[in-house]
Amino acid sequence: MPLSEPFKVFPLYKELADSYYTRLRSAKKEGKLVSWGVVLIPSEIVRAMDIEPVLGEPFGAACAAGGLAPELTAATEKYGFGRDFCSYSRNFVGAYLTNKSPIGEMPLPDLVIGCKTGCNDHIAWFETLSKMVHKPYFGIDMPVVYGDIQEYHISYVQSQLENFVRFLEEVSRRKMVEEKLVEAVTLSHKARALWTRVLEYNKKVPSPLSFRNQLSFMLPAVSLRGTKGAVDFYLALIEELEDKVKRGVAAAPREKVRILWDNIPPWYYMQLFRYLDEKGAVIVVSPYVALFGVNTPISPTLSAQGKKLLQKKEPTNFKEALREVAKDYLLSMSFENLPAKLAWYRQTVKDYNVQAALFHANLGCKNLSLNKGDVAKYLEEKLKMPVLKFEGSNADPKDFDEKGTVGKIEAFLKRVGAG
Amino acid sequence: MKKTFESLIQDRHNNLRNLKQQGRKIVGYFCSYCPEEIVYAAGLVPVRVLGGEGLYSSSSNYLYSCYCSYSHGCLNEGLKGDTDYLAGIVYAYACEHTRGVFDSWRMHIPTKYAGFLDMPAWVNTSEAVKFYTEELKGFKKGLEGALGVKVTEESLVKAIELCNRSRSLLREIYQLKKSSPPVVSGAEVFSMVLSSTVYPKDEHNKLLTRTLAGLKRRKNRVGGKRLMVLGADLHYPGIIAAIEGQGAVVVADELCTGSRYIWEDVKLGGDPWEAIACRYLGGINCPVKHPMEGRLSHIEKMLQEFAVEGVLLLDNDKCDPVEWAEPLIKQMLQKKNIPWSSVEIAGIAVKEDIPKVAEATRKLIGG
Repeated sequence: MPLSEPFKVFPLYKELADSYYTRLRSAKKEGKLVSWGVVLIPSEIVRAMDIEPVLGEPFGAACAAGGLAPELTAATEKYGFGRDFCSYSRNFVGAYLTNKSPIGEMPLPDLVIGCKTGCNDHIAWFETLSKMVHKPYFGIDMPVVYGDIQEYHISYVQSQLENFVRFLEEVSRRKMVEEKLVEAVTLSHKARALWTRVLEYNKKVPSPLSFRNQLSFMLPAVSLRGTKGAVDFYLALIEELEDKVKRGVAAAPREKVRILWDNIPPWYYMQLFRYLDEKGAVIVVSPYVALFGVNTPISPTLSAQGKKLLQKKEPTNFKEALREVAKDYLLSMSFENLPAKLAWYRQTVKDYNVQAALFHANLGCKNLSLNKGDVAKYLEEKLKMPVLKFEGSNADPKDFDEKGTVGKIEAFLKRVGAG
Repeated sequence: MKKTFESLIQDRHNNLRNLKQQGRKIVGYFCSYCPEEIVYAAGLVPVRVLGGEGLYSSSSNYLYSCYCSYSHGCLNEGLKGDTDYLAGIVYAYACEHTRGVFDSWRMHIPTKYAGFLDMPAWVNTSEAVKFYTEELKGFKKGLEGALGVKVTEESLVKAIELCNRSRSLLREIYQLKKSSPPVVSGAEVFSMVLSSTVYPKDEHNKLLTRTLAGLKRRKNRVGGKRLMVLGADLHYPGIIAAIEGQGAVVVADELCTGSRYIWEDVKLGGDPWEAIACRYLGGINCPVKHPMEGRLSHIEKMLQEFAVEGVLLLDNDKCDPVEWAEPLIKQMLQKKNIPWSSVEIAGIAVKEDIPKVAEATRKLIGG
């Protein structure tokens, strides 16, 4: 099997990431407005208003990856918060309280945005922060979608987005330019659809994209929605993946077992994934990275009519652009119920030829850990797949038992033939 | 009187099995946002799942340890078969913990009906009212189809009147705690409110009416430091009793199973569906609903109207919404020079919580 090769597009990725953080650092000096919000706010709309969005979860991940989590989470607890809610948010709040972050000083906001996309913390986090920083706040309520999609779901989200645009106009004291909104929405959807295509290359055997690559290359789909740079990057990445697949270049030197990784990774312990690659336990797919793409509506609760309502249409004006954003969000939310999750796992295991699963019982994220015990049992009992569950946290190393976890994983890898 | 209402809570499973044998269909819910009016209008009896005694066991096969004891307790109770009298379950979106219970329950516990209501988290907009009114109508259709029942305009109005009557009686009793010292203890009132969630309201209202008449004649008063408790789900009357056992009286609360459950009525007169939506969205918000101002202003009002001298924060373990709001609440209490103490509890009946609560109370009242 050919040895793995570094990606030629990596410098392009680094340039995109660096310029994003540079823009955040220099926004205020350049007279630009800065927003704070959860990762799944409609940041393409924010960008269309030429406002720089600081996104909570990626920021929290960067804090943890940068070794700042112990200090930042301690500051958050000292302020009076508990230690059970979202660990990304505990890093973010700590960054504000200490003014320490992976990009230096914490860029302060002019406005704050919440959006209930999958968990209640998404609204509480930034509503609370807006009171701490005394800045205007807007909360977007997103339906959770346990049943079918009907027109009133779309209208509900769309009408809130219209109010959201008015809020942005009021705070920024300028009007939304229709062409910019349409372009940003179109580019956002395109980038996310391309990200889904990128991930699908891992259906190939051997898989060309390591989990570490996936976690890096997801940045444009997560943090640069609405930009041309995100689209251009994914087009370049797809071109390189095509080439790698043609030549049989693999993500890891040996692919002994194909793994599904569930939940967010422990960002402070990324060496785990190098270890897994070296053992030939290759993570080919993860719902966490797939979340930021455009998945097909497979929820069994969606009728043909509901799926038709969600069908993509190229927007040409303000209302259409907001409607398309509403549809994109509702499509994501249609995966929130357990039957939809099981349908996704069932299909994914088949499509990606998954042979074993690692379930990170992530104490730091209530949404992505929801009903994962049910899913793990389903994979074990119905799909006869070996599954290892282990506790940890995405961004709080206090909840991670390194020795115990590595020991469990070692034993599991031996069991599945990658020891 | 206390024993009667407490026994309704303790013997709820037997009571509800008897009710089922009498031909009544019972539907369980995990959160106060269940629109009980619609369930009653369908001829069904809505009851709250309180979670069993002690800590969870089987539920940890499905829910990770980061979910609260209340969610584990509810799921465990269902998995053990304690609630086998339920014809179905209903869940109006509140938080991820209880949402997880709903999904695991319908997957692993045989149930004829599992109804989900997508209740907005951001509640003070006209868009939310419009959306939720549609959800309620959809909920009604689902209930009718699954359980072979019918909701008419007439039955809905009657059900609203029933639930409003229950809340009105409970509020009248609750208001007796304003007097100093009051004739009724916090533990007694808490048991009355909680038992109304596990017993048919038509019968419960009769008990309340008799009780209220008796309280108006009562001479003995309950002395002690006037405390308010804040929190979320509390299903264990022993907690309130433990607080009052330290020389306090719980004159006010802001709990899902306390004042939040009874403070607002459905306003009759216009479209009843929209009226129900407005009541649940616009009522006194639990920590899961936003904006926070609704909850904060209710707390401030209660502090004043009930002449509260100290506040005990009952923090449901691993409860994100409670944890988020806590610094703001503590800052508010500090500004008002109201002493406070906090203690983590399970919310369900866990005996180990009693000494912790007693200690936190002693710390608060300086005993």
